[in-house]
Amino acid sequence: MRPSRVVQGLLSGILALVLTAGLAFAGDRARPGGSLQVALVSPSAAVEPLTADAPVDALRLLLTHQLLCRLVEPSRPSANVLRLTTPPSVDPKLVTDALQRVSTTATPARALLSSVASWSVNGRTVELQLKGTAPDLERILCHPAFAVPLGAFRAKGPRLEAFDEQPSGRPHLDSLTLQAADERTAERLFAQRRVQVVIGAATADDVPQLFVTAIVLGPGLATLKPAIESTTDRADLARFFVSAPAGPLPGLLPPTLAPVVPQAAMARPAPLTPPRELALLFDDEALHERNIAQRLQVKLQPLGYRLALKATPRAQLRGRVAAENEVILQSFALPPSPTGALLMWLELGGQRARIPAVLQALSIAPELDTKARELATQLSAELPVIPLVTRGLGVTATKDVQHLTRDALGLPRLDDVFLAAE
Amino acid sequence: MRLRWTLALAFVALSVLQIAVVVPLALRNLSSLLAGQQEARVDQLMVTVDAEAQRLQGDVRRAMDELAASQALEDVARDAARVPAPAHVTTAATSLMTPRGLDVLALVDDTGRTLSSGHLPARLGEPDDPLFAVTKKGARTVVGTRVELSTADGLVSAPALVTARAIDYGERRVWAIGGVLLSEARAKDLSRLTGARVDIVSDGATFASAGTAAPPLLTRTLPVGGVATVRLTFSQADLVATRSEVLRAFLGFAGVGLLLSIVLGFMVSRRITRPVEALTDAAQKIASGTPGVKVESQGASGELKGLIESFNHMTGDLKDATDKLVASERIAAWQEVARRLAHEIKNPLTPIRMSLETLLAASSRGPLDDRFKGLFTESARAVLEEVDRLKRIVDEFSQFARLPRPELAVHDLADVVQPVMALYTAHDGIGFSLALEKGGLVSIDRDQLTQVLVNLVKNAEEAMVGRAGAIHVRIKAGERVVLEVEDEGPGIPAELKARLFEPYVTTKPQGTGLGLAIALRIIQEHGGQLDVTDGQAGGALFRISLPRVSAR
Repeated sequence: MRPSRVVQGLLSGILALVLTAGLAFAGDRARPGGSLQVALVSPSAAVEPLTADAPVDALRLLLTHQLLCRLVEPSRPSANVLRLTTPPSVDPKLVTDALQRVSTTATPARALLSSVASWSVNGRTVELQLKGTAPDLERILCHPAFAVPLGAFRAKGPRLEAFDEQPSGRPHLDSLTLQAADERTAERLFAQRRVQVVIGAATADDVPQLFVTAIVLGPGLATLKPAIESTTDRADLARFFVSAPAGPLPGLLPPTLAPVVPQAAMARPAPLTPPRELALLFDDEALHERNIAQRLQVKLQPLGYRLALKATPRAQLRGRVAAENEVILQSFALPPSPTGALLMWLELGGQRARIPAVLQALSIAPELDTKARELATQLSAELPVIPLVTRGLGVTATKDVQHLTRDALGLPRLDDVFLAAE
Repeated sequence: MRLRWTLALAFVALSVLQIAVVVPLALRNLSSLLAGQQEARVDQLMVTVDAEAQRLQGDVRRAMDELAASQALEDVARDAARVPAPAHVTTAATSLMTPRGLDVLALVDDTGRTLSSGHLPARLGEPDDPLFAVTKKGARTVVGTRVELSTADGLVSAPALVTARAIDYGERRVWAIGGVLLSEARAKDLSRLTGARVDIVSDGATFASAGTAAPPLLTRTLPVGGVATVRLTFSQADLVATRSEVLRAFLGFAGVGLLLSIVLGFMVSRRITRPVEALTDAAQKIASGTPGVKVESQGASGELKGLIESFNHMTGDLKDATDKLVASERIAAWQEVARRLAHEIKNPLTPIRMSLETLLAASSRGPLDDRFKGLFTESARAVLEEVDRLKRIVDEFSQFARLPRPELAVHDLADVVQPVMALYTAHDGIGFSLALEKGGLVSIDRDQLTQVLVNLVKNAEEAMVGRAGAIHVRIKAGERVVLEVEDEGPGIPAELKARLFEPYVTTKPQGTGLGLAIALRIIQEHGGQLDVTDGQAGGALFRISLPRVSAR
């Protein structure tokens, strides 16, 4: 064999190897830019930070907004001060606006700022004066209610285009095209490869996250709690009446914040005589709430509770205090913090006065989350609320959609996505 | 009441009686007829409703047969055991129910657990014992049962007609239990079909209603499937309206008939009673002294015509008899006057004759001496007195026979009496007492009334000759104006009172007996009355009564 032929053969082999390897790795390589077609199973159109109670709504919000905890750099110069430093290009007023919005609106999220006495702006820094140590406030600020309008994308007509000046950096994608659809249509579009991602359709693989649905009891309805606990199987609620991913919520903290502790079955109370008439209010736009309300109607009537179902606009339900002979279904997002979740349950249950004591107990605990879970177990029996289910967001994507990660709320981060090279 | 009115009222009463008897009878018969027709119509509609219920059950049967044979249900049976149940299983009932016209559809496994529920999705995973019990009934049987539904007011138990079908996949069996609710929509269908108000009643409670029915009402019920009763309420307002319309027409006709009977009654009664009334008027005229009244027989017929002719004949005879009687009375009266006049004239003739015979005897006996002269003078005076008396008798008779007609004028009677009585003054123990009430206006001939008054006063004075007392003259102005002249003389004997005003009846030796006859005639000519009674003091009381007139 002549040497030239050997070299030629060797070069040919190297080239073939390189080509083969190149072809083999072509699917994993980032392709900058590109547009992602997304089908969104959601009836909502416009979403505000304070109304992002459903997973799909929160996702839609966080395409154009940024969670406050991701935007700012927190620091604690002293025990009673939390300093939030904004990136150079960000006006600190966006931060104070978010704080002001949450603190002045009657929603359960208002409790998240219970430990904040006031705030002030100093250059790029927003200083929060705290009541006590304000445990876990940094994670609490990851609640979507604090989102500021500095998301990875900006709406331009029906499309969302990459926001170049995004402080955390421009997303890989050039744009997103969102298409609202019902579940069946979304599945068809996906099967036809007309969309690459379907968000909000039921999936078996995803897990429920921090979006919870609970019943708030009106005054004098303590007897309703054992009636519901003994007759209503939360797993059935999640399986039959809530779009997957969904799961039972036996306690105040969802599985992502606290391990599920099996609960002893509660004794079924004797039926009431004469029957009691109650009004069950639910969000007229939330299908899962309507389903749950009907299920409760079926389950409670044999126990002597006759529920009149009242579909109510979401705006009227938010912050509403349950009146006498009234129960309310409430769906909302919890922060990725057991402490923050606990504060929101206290607010929802009308126990705002107990928040300082709870914060005090948490601030001296050596293990904050452990203590919060203990308190959650204790308060679960005391609060006039009954957690029912927790929800997540189902996501289905084609293989070319790469790096589909989840954020602190368990929502898919489309700003991290890139499309695999062809 | 006049005969005419009596007859007319009798006619009207007869008509009213006829209406009162005929109208209620006719109305009762008509009401029975209309009610019978209504009953027949309602019976027919109930047959229609029953047929509609049968048709509904047939529809349920066919829909469930078709469903049981469908591929979709086979898929459900195949995947029913998968855990978790696929969405097409849990939502199958909802999607399969509506296109087949079913209101109720539950898919249950052979343990009774609900795999999918179209009418109550909240039942998912739960048993529905009442519905599952339907599977124990005979195949293809549509049965009534109660189905729970979620409503805004709570869970309600609604009546439904359902049937069950089994779908086997290998060893696995799934039941499809479906049917229709006896709901408001069904009630509306039946209401449209029958025009009635429809209530679907189950367990004593009204589950669905449709339509309206105005009272009065007729209610019928029809049991459906052993689970509910369809109550149909028919309005009888049309029946009542028809009856009212007929009643109005009847009353209208009756009213017209009554009016006609009144008019005809009056006309007939007038025709009947006119001759009778003419006879009555004629009889009254005859009774009031009008002789020879004749009644026209025109318009009368039959017995009435005969009666009128007899009446006319009778009045003719009566007139003839009356004329003859009057003539004979007049002759008798004049005979009496002639007898009395002859008697009065004869009385003076006797003294005249005796005086003249005395003179003749004296002159034949010797020379005309002083004794003769004395006798002559006495006889001549006696003859002259009797001649004067004869002259007076003739004058008064002449006055009585030729009394002029009074020239009437309205006077206050007191103004007439007062000047006359002023001429009288008390004399010979006779005084005058006047009580003259003013204002008694009378229509009189002043001179003739003065003559009567003077005559009465003169009679009173003559009655009181030789007595002391008073003559009372009084005027009383009441409805009639009364003039009284009362003396305190001896009074008038009772046997004379009745004849006192006849001519030539007098108690006075020198009286002619014509004074009071003339006074009576004057007063009668004035339309008044003159009578005599006993006065309070035992004397005579003459009373003149004249009709009072108004100042105009």
